[in-house]
Amino acid sequence: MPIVKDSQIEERRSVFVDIQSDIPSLGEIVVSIEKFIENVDAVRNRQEGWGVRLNGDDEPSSLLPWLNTINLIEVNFPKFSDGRGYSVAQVLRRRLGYQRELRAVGDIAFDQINYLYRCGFDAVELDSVDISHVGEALERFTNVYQPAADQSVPIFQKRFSGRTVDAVH
Amino acid sequence: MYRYDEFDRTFVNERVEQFREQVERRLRGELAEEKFKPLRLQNGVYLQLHAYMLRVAIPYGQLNPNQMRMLARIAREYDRGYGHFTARQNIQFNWIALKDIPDVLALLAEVEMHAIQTSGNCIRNVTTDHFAGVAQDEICDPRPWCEIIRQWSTLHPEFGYLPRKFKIAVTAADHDRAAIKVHDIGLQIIKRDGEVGFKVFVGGGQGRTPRIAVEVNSFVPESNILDYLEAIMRVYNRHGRRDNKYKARIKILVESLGADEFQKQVEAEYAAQGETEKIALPNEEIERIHRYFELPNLPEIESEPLSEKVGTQSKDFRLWASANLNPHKVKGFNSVTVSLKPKGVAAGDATDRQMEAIADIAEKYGFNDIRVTHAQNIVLANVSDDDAPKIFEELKKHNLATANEGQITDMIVCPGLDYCNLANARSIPLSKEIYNEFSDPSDAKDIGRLHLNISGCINACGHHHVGHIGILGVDRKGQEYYQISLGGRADQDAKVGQITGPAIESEKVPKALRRIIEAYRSYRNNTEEPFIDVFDRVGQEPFKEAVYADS
Repeated sequence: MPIVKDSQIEERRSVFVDIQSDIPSLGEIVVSIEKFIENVDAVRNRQEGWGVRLNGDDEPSSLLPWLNTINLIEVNFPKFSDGRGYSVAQVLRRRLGYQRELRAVGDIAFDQINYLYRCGFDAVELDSVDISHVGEALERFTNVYQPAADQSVPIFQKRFSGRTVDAVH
Repeated sequence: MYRYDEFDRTFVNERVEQFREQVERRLRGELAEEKFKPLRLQNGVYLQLHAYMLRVAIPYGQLNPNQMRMLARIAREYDRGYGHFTARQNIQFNWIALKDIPDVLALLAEVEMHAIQTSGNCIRNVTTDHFAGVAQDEICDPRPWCEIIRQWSTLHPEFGYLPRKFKIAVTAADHDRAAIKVHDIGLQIIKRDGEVGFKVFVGGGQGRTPRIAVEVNSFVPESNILDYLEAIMRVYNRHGRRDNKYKARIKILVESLGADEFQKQVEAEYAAQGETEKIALPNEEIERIHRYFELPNLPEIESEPLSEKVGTQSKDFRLWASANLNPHKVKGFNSVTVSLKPKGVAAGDATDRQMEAIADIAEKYGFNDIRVTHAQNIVLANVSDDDAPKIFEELKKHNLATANEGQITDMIVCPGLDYCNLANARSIPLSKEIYNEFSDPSDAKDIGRLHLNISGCINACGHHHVGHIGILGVDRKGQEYYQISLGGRADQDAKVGQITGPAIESEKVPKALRRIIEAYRSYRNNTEEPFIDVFDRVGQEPFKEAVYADS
């Protein structure tokens, strides 16, 4: 499925490796968090690209010892209505300081992109994608009411940065 | 009341346009119902038995006359000439076409209203005391904090796909009129050593598993409350059950972890918040929002108390004044309950003309302040003693002057099987039958304060668990039966009612209630002792006998 990042579309090249599977000797991989923790050195010593995938019930802070060596974290959304991944992303970005690629995968609807990016995702895997729509979705709202991982300045701060406020009553 | 500034206006307009495009994609067949559903729900659009239903947010129940007039216009032009005020201080339109909804939302935006997050698995409209800001027994006005919470929760990107819906209620009074202990989060504003803060209750709720909320923190300073709410929400979003929608509310998480462990997790999450994660609402913003809620300049009224003045008025007025006027914190003023429970009308329904009449009266006599109550009535918060008789006459012309606030005919009733595809039984026809049984105003007045709540199914939208008398519609082999529970209450001493026994046929319900009332009359110490106090004193037994005395 196509992956959207930085206004570019690319096809997935990596293979997902869960706890039951063997790590292939060649090619890009994304491994489940359990598989990663069991095989940290083998994964980190690979020549080709690798990443770690978290589910909604995984604890992001268990990646802390290796976080600054990871270039890609995928967060899986088993159903688009399952919102745990938004919290996982916020914890990774805002609390643990993870700065590299954070990719949403799984059952994702185009209309969720705005919330995903606000929570710190910078890449999304979608089953079909019109890149112009993604841009529109991200620019839909000029302002936001609350801080989140995307660093948008919330309305409550903008109200007091040199702007005049409407008269009361 | 709060008014939009340029930021709020821009935001709501952008939201209307977003939904307009989503509806167009849906109507063109480009968006499947499954994916459209959460989008329409978070814009207040339900698919009901016969049609789409639009639920419009009335933040913490507060309206101005122009907003009320717009609701009237929408009722007239896009619905069948009426709207239904709900037990969550909102309004629903039951017969709106999907293609019209974006236009309706655009009209609402013109008067600073929206339907955002009135349904779906997200943080819903924040509710509060309908006497907020004018009550004699509150320590401050809770509405500014409701507005702050409203803005924080609006399109909160982390909490848009929660395990289940999420309701927050706020009160600042000793007497809880906002039912905070049957909400997912209940906030009680308190003062400690001169500092304002919040007592935080979590895990209350009605539905099929009624629970009374547990206290999770005895004092969160006001400047930290949003951070504390974020901590609760994150624990819930990450750990609430998602495998069974009937076990997905936060009350189930609190119960399965145990209150202590839940509290520990919230406190740990709260303690883990780094400085950059804190919301840090500027003091200027808190003050700015508070200024919108300052009491209007009410004239000083130096005259005899209303109780003496009413002596010269008609008997009808005196009956109405004794039931529907509530004392105001400013001398010479009252808060008037405009009853939406006249005989023969579904509880909470108001026609376009009635809404316009209420708007006119609020403008002329009520300092533009209109509230919707969770008991599905309207309150005009600031009415002088001198204007009360004039308002009564105006209301009477529009069938809005029923003298029954808090009485047995002031029922909370869900839409039931007449409208709702979740219901097992009809609620509205039964409420009309009960009304007929108790329609004598002096009888109802003598019965006194009694909350009678009716739900057409176990989802409990009619709040039957916390009615002094609760009635629940059930389906028994295709027949509508009704189960009666007693002793529930939604106030500071919140309790879930006790079920009396097997459900009974609808024809038997009014007489069973009559026998309950006769039992109450025989046990009360005097006419001042309300039903709920008698029930708490003597227990369920005599009332239970009364329910089944005919079988």
